[in-house]
Formats: sequence, C-alpha cells, structure tokens
Amino acid sequence: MPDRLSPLQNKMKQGVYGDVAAHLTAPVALSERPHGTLAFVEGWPETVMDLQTIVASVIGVSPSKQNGWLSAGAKGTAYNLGLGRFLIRSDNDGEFASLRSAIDASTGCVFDQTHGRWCMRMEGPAARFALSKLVELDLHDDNFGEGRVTETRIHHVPVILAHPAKDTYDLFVYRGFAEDFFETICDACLETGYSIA
Amino acid sequence: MSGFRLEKGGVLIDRETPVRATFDGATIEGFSGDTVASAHLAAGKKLIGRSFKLHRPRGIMSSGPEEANGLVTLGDGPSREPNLPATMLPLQNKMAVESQNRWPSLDFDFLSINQLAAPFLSAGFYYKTFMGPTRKSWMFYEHLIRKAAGMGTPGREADDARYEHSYVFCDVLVVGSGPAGLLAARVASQAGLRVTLAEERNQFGGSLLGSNVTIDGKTGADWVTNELNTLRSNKDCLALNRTTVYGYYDDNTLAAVERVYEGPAGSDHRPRQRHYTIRAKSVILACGSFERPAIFENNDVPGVMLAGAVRDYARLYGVSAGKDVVFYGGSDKAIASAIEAAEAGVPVKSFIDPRSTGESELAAKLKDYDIAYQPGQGVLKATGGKSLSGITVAQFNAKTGRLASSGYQIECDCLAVSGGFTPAIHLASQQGGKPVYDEELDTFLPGDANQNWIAIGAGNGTFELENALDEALAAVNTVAAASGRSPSKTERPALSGNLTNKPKSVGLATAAHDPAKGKKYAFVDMMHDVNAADVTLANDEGFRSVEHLKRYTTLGMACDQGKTSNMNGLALMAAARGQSIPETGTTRFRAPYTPVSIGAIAGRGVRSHLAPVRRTAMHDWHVANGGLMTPVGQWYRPRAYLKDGESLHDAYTREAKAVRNSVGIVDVSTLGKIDIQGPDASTLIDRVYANGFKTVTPGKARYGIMLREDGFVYDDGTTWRLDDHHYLMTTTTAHAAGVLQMLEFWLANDWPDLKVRVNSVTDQWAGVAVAGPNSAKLLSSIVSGIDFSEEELPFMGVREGTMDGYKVYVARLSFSGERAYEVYSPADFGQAMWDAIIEAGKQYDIVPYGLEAMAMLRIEKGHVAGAELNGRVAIGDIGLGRMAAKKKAYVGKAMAGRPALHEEDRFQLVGLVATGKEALSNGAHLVTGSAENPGPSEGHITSMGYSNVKEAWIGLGYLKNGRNRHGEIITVTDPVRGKHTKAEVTDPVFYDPKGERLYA
Repeated sequence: MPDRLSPLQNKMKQGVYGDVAAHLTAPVALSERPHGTLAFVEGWPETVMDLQTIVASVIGVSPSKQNGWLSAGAKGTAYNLGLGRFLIRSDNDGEFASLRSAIDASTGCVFDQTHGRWCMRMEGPAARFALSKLVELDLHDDNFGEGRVTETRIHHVPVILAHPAKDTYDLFVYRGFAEDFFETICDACLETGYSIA
Repeated sequence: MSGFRLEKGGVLIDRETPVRATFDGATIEGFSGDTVASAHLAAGKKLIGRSFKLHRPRGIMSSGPEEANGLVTLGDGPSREPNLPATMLPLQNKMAVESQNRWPSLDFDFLSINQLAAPFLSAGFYYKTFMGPTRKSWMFYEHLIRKAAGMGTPGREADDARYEHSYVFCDVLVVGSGPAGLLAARVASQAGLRVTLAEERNQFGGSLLGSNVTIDGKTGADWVTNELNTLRSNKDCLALNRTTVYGYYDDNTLAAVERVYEGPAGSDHRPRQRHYTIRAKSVILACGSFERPAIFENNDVPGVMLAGAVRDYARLYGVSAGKDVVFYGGSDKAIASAIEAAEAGVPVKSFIDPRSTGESELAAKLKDYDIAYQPGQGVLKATGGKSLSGITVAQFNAKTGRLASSGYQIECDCLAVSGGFTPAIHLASQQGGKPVYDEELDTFLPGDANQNWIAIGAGNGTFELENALDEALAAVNTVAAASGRSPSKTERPALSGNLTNKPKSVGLATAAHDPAKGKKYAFVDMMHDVNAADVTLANDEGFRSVEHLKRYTTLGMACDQGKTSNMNGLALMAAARGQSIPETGTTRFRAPYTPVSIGAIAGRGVRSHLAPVRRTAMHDWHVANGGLMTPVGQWYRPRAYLKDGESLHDAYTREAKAVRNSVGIVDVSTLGKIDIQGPDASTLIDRVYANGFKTVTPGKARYGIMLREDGFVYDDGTTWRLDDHHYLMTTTTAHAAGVLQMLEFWLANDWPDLKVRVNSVTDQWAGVAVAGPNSAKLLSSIVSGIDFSEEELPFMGVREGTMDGYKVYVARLSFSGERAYEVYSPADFGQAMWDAIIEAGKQYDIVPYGLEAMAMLRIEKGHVAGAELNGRVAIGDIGLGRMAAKKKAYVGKAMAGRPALHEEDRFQLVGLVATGKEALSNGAHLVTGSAENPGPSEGHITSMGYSNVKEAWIGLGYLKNGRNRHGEIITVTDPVRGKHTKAEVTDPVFYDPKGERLYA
C-alpha cells in the first residue's frame, strides 16, 4: 500500500516566519496533526446512549454528554458536536472499521472522514490572538476553555475548532481547502510570528 | 514663546524627540506626540486647505475628529490616502502630507475663482444648472464638476498595506475615554467584567487632558495614566486608542476601526488598520461632545477656531494658535477654555460674550489673566484672506438674539469661538429612539435605548464633571447587576480646578445671520461649503423637513456627519420657519460615524485571499503536467493539458479523440458526494429525485433528476446503493453544497421522522473517470476484487475493490458516451490511484483530459451540465420529462405540473451544427431572419465546441419549440463579440444515439 499523501505534503516548510522579534510571546507553533481514523458517528434520538457506549468500547472514552465538549481517551478523542453527533479521532487507522462493524443502521451511522478532513494544530500564547482575526466566536476561556469544541467558519470555510489544552487549538477542515486554509492561518499569524517544526 | 510653539507645556509631546515631515513638499518640524495640525500651527501656518466647492482658504478649526477644514492627503503611490483630518494624524518622520483640492498650489489656487461665481453655486445648483440642453448633458458637465470640486484623490495603484479583521467579545464596551468613560472602564474591570475601551483619538483622556482639573489629587494626565495602567493590568481588558467605533448594529454588535499606523506599508506585518466586530453584552457610550462654531460672515477664515481646540493645542501640544487671540462664546465653559489657554501661555487679549454683565460666574476670573471681558457683544464678521486679520464686534440685543448691523474692529490673528456644545449622539441614534431635545442645554440628547446601552457624560448632556463621574459609576453598577455581579463600592474621585462646565450658550447660530442680506459666507457646514443662506434657500424652496434640508444642501453629509453643523443648521432652519428647534426636528444618524476605508472593510479578503481555493488530491500533478487550470467554483480544474506548441483547441480535440479511440482519464473529484445512511435512506432518496429509486438494488447506481420546490430542475447526478441502508449520492460540482443543504433542511424540518443522516464526503474520495473502449482492460489490470466483465459489472453497476491495498469504489457510468468507469479512492491515495492508472494506461496511449474535452464528449452525447441546468429549465425542456415519476410524490412535483411548464413553445434543448467553418459562441442568440435584420431572440447557445466526430463546430442550446424545428437553419447572432453565423437545428444527441459505445 502506498503512503497516504497529505494535502500539505512538502508544503509546510520548517522555519520561523513573521514578526517574531516584535513580540514578547513565542511564535505560534503550527503543525499538521495526522489521524489514522476520523469519523462522524451519528445516532437516532433513542440510541445516543448506546452509541456512546460503543464509542467508549472502541476508543476507550465515552463522548461527553454535553454538547460542545471533547473527551480524550487512550485510543482516541470524541468530540460531541451536538444532536447526537460525534466526531471520533484516533491515531489508529483501524478504528473506522471497528466503529462500522459495531454500529448497525438501527443504532446509527458512521461516516468516514479520515481522508475528508485535514487537521492542523496551533499552539502558543499568541494562538488565540491570531484566531480572533478569523473566528467570529468568543474564544475567551470563560466561553471556549480547554475541552471545548465547536463548528465554525474561517475564511468562508467550515471548520471544526477544538481547544484540547491550554493555548492549543486543533482545526479540522475539508481536505480540498487544506492548503489554502493553512496559508490563511499562516497569514493571520504573521503579526506575532509563527513556526513550523 | 518661540514662534507659535510655547516655551513649556504640552502633555502629549516629547520635546526631546524632534520629528520632521513635509507638507506640500516643504519641511514641517514638530515633536513626537504632535499631530500634523499641531505642528502646522506651531509653524505659524494658518492655511491648510481649500474648501470643497468655492475653494476658499481654510485653516485648522478643531483638535479632533470633527475637523472639517484640515483634511489632507498622506503619502503617495499605493499607500496614498486622502481626506484624513490633520487633527487626528500623528506627525511622523518622513511623513509626506499634501493639501487637497487646489491647483497649482495651496497658496495660489486657480479655482478659487469659483468664489466669484458663488451667487450661482447655491444649494441645489447642480440640479438647477445642469439640466440641459439635452438629457445627456450631465455626462459632459459631470467630468468638469468632478475636476472642480471635491476633496483628495486616492492612489491609482493597489494599496499594498495589510488590513485585518478581528472579533472582540466583551461584557461591556466603553466608547470614549474621557474622564467618565475611563472611570467606567476601570471600575467595570475591577468588578470582574471583561471590558473593551475604544478611544478614537491618539490619546486617552478626552477633555481631561486639556483642562486644569485635578482628579484624585493628580493632574488629568497622571490620573489618566493611572487608570489605564489599572485597566490594562487586567488581561481580560482591552484598551484601544486610535480606534473609532463607527457603527452600532443589531444584537449589540458594533463596528470599529483601529488605525494601527499611518503611511506606507513597512516591512513588518502589522496591519495599517484593524477592523473590529465587537459583540458586547452592554455598551457604555461616553462619546463626549462637539463644540459648535458660531455663524457669522467669513467665519471660515483661517485663524477662526473652536475655543476648546485653541485650549487643547496649548495644553496638549504646547502650541499657541495665534499671537493675538480673542475668545468668543456665550457660556462659562468657553470662559474656562480661555482661562486654561491663558494659563498655558496663549496670549488671550479679550473675551467677547453676548451675555450681559453678571450672567457669568467665571468672567471675574478673566482679569487674573489680563483678559479683557466684553459682555453684551458678539462677532459680526471676520476679516482676512488666507489668515485672520481682525473681527468686527457689535452689540448683542438679548431680546432679539441678534447683533447690531455694525460695530467696531478688533485686530487679532486667532478667534476662538464657542457656539455651544453638541453631545455626540451618533451611536446612540443608530440604535436608539428619536433624540430628545433639551431646552436648557439647547441640544439633542440620546433617546430611548433600543439596545443594551447607557449613555453617560457629555454625550448624555451631563457636562458637569462630578455628575458625569457619578453617571459612570451608576452605569457600571447597572451593567454589573445585569451580569449578576455585586455593585462597585468605588466612590467618585475628588475633583478640583475649573469645574464650571455649564455649556448653555447664547445661540450663536442666528445672531449674526440676516437672511435678508443674502450670501455672506457665513458657513454652517465648512466641509461642504453650505452657508446660512443655503439653509434659508432650502426653506424658501420648500425643502423644510430636516431630512430634505440635509439632502438638498448636503448639510452634515459625508465626513462631517453633522458633528459641527447639525445643531447650527437646525437652529437656522427653525429660525427660517419661525418655529422651535424640537419642532423642526433632527435627522437620524447612520453608520459610519466617521469615514471607513475600503481596505478596512475588505480586510485580508483581497488578491489571493479573496476567496478560498479548493484543490483536488491530484491538483499538483495537473499543474506539473501542463494543466491549464481554471476556477470552477472554489475548485481549480484543468481545461486541458497543453503540450508544447499546442493551442487549447488542439489540446482538447486531441484529448477527446483519444477517449473515443482508446482511453482517457479525467479528475472528477470535484463532483459533490453525499454519504446517506439510515434505515430510511431509500425513502429519502426516492422523495428528492423526480424519478424512482426504490427499485435500485445494492451494487447498482441510477441517474437522477432533482427539482426545486418550484418545479424547475435543480441538479442531476448518479446515486449509488452501497448496501441496504447506505447510499452515495453524487451531485454536480456547482450544487454540491446546495444539495447537501437542502437534504439537511428537509430532514430537520419536513421529515424529522426519517431515520437518515447525510454527510458530505466530497473531500473523502478522490475520483477519476476512465473512459474509452480500453477502459475495462486497463482497470482490470490494476484493480483487485472486481470482475470487469459485462456480466459481473454491467452498465450502472457499482463494486468495491482494492488497488495496491487501498479500497476503491468502481462504478460503471458514462458521461462521455464511451464505455467508462468512475473510480473513487480515499483522497490521500488519490495521487497514487492516478499514477497507477496512468502507468497501466501507457500501453493504451492513455491521455489525461480536461474540462474542454470532457465538455465536448458530453455535448456530442447531448448530456446536460451546469450550463444547461440554469434554474429556468423544466424537466421536459431537456427531454427527460418521461423520467419523472407519475405515481410517487417527490420534491417539486406539484409545481412541475403547472401548465406553463409544459407549453409547446418553451425553450427546449436542441443540438446545433454550424453550417460554416466559424465557431459557435456560448451565449449567442438564436434568431430567425438575417444577422443584419434579426428577429427577436428565440433561444441561445449554452455549450459549444469542435466535434471530432461531426468534424464541425457543434453546440447545445435552448430554442423555442426546438424539438419540432430539427433541420431548420437558424441565425446565430453574437453582437457582443460581433460574430454572426448560421447553424442547423438538430437532435441534441450527435453521437451513438443507440448507446452501443457504452458496451464497446
């Protein structure tokens, strides 16, 4: 089997860019965050609890019962996007098949997005400032603190935005937009500087 | 005093840091902290610009955003920016400032000759003068008028500076950082609220910096610094200077622009301007007030300034606006300004007050500064050309409110006037009820709040500092209580100094204006050269509503937005109509409060960032292999792969020929793909397509036509049944998002009972079409798990297999008319799939083909695409009426049954074959008659190209009653491109009408 080809393959050039020296904070660290499995799991109103149990058996953690919250487990992360809809991310590439075989039509649906969405991470104290140029949401910790996830829009493109840890944001975007999206993020970070490891 | 720069003082300047810039090419010197206006005045210069219409000489009038005269242009080339108030523009080294609206120079402006024509340039003169002699005359005049009148001109080159957007959320937005606003912001932050403070000027502090008031035992400047430090120590608070909140919209959303820097773009990446969209739970409007000019003859001569501005230049910048200064005003607030200016070293020789002796509490203090107090008098006129040389002072009749018609002359080079104060109610008016007139203050105050805002301080008509600070504290407590916080225990700071802030002024708008004497250059709106006589004229001609007055005279339009002109204009109109100001009414203020640059609105959405770009997994291969890329919606797709020396025509006809003769491959990843799952998936699909889908079995695909609810065709595509409860719907590239949106809407709103979920997998799968008689042989050599025989994979069959270990779907579909397959792989393997097919196809001379060849192949087959599905087409128009199900219900069925959608003379799909060698044109009209004498349009061409199989230019198009006109020779006229030819009307299927090639 050939290697998977990232949409940003050979396009993320290592280095430090922008006005780093002008700011006291560290540059925003930008990185690709590849996944082995990315899938939407959706249930029917009466089966959401069952779905959560199934997801927990596959990735080791049950999706949060609260909309807009993520829960990270040993084998993956579940993002509760509301209305019985969960995004499941795992480093392992076999989890989609596991979910697929565990969830039949009477329980819910499993949509493979392993190749459909590309994920990048922004880290650093200036990440929120850079994101505030693009995201029409209140990213303050009181409103979008660690553990939160939401669906939003950046530069006209739908984005799933997660805040897994302090000063750390994961952004899932349709693969076709990945290169343009990454350029948009880089551009927003120029003022404070950014780095690509 | 050295020149006009005072020996000491100037809280905003750093005398240790000189700054050199240029004004109209000549050096202008100042200090760090100066504005262009303060440096200009410090240099002893009065003249800074020419007026809009009459080209009258104008000087600096104010010290803030209300400046109507001192508009300048900054820079040249891409960064050139016109119409900037010199009062707001910080002086910077190497800054190149130009005056505006003059030629050849500011001192000698040829068009100042316009003043001779002033009697003809009254309000509405455009409408009256340039009506004829013909209807097109305006086109001639307009050019000349635009040359003669106006303001600055922007650069012709694209602006190379960055402009950015930012989104701010806060518990409370405080607009304005005068003492009330700043106190409110600081106390609110200490109450635990997330505060954003926006100050439009370069510095925080508002009127406090220019006054001699001490607050909490500190000078105004020190108190401001202290408050700001406290505010900024809270990381949740944002204090923005040089940031103008210009619009107040629904849901407590406000728009602001921060002027991060001025001038040319530097090498760094700071934006020149940052546009904020602010969503605030509450807003405290501490917007302050504007001082009104006085209306008298020649009140625009350079040297006539607002009293507060003369004080500000002295105290903030250490500049005396003149060497022989007279103050004129009818309030103690104006007297306070005179005293504070004198304290700072300004040589104030007299104060002219229309009030009688004893009416002023402060007047007695004037003698402490050797300022002669002249009560019961007023300024009748000013004298001077490019700078003030003197004024005529006359007795004021308190009963009539008018000045005597003659008086005596006083020499002076600066007249500081104060005609009262107008609260800045712009934002409140944008989201508030009708402004309320306050008779005591003689001004309009904010009306009822429509949104969650509270006005405080001078902007609310509360000019007394103690009361303004009390309002600030009360407002914070209201906001805190609304968010569940305890009230603040902060007490009002102790105050001392000139606390007499009573702004009530004797009306100076009408005192010197005698309408019977006609035009006397008594200006109301300096920016637009609207004078008192224009207001009277508007009344005489029936434009009496304030809204009509504004539009007829341009009073208060554009940059001014009524800041200095509104109340004086209303007073004049009220006098003309013999009624009170509240009876006359006021206009509603609209955004923007000050001009906003287009760059700030566009932000980074320019050039390559204008719209997002979408790339398929094979995008880079296309580019590297000669793909002539073209945008298709957000995607980029190759039109053709050009070989050396090939034209586009050569390339696509070569590619199309290869497909017909052997095999070709095209990237179809952009087709919309929607994953549909659930026990009721079949029901959903059957409802949304006009043709039946219930009989489609797993492993089969079917072509479907989707209508809109109004019965017209919306989209088409194939839908594949992958298993009992799992479908993959494909859509056109153009309607991928629209179809998904419709499905989601119907499931959420119309059919919530259906157990179905849909998900876009357009990006999950890379797709290619492998088309041509050798396609099956090629694919069978590289795809595992699929038997490509006719029996095992028949037309419209769908199978799952693998290629080099990764999963692929293969569907036997054909857009080209040849035996063909669509192969979908997970997108990260898309390039690998493409490479494998190209490699395996070499033995069949495989060619990659682009949009042009794909279009030609489908035109030859008469297949419709986006160009034909234009939103006005009924299913019968494209010859697919018989596909529409008779028995089942589907979206759009009821409306599709309208008789009008079945009439015979509808535009119907036809084929067209050019009778000559000339190409047909997309969009060309089909007419009867000749090119020279054409009849009305009876249709148009939707798609065209050169057909190898017909050896002619062919096309598809719509023609009235087209199906019954096959064989007719029709004129194809394309007047836009100047092309006219003829074509034969044919059946739209040009190639293999029996479909035998699908099985080749």
